[in-house]
Amino acid sequence: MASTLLVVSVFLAFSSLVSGDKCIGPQVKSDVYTSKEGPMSTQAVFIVEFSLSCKNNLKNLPLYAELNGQVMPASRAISSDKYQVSWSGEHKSVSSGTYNVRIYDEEGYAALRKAQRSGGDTSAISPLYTVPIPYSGVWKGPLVQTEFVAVCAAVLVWYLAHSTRSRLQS
Amino acid sequence: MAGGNKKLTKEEELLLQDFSRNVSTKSSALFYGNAFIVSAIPLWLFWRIHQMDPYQSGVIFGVMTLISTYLVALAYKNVKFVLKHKIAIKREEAVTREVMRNVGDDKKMSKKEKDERILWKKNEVADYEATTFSIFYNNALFLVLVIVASFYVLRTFNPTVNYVLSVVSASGLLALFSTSTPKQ
Repeated sequence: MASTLLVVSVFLAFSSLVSGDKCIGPQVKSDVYTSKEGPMSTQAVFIVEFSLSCKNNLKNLPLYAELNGQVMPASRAISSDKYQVSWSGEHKSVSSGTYNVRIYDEEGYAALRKAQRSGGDTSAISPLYTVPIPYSGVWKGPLVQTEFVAVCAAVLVWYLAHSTRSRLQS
Repeated sequence: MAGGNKKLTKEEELLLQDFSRNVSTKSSALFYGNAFIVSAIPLWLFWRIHQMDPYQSGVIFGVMTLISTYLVALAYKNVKFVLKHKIAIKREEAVTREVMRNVGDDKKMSKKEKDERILWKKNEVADYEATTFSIFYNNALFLVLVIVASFYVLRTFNPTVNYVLSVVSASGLLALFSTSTPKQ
């Protein structure tokens, strides 16, 4: 009886220690920014700013974000509980659609890295949270350049003047 | 011996005026005023689009505007002179009809006076129409040349060089084209 109680209490103690490092019931509030204009930027950029709240009130957890196989640590603001992570890519290689950013804690990150090194299936590792990024592509600029429109309008006016002059001189 | 000052008749004066390249003071003021305004248009283009600082480039802007004003006014005068005679021929019938409608029944006016009035009116109408058309034609051509030169031909050049070359080439070509004689 005493040994059973001892085992249960040790188990519960370890459980509490383990649950102290793991976020239970994670809730993420996120803001997403994606590039809107092609001519004004050399690359397409995704920026995700998010805050994590856990039911067990854990704070300042080291977090990692993964997008399209690229994993990086999420930067954490000193004065607030916000995290930020960003990606960039050539406009040509970033197509429109919805991208899913998977957020991992340290345990998940370690498992992910292990799976990536061994060539295993990374989608089997469940993230702490997933933030969807809807991306509709960038505006590539006007169909016709404005200077071309200006030249055409100026040439048209000149042509009218020239044809009137030719008629007068005939 | 013949000599001394023979006073010109009104008809001779009108004919001299007609065939002279000289413009009246009013026309000259109109030409230079318009030429200045048109020459100043590229300033806005280079200041706002090509991002030239107006204070740093003030001297260049001033000098090039004056040169361009002179060349554009020269083009106005040349084109006006060429067009005036053609317009006079085309408008002769209409002017004659209008003048005769006003003075045709006037018995006190001799035929010679009526003819002088027609000639004077024809000269006035042709002068005005040639002046305004010359300004319109040369402005249109100047703007085409400036836009093509600054946005296409000289686009890789430094903005200051672009401004100087596009304005001088546009106004220079304008003056050059205005000296061409029409095919007879």
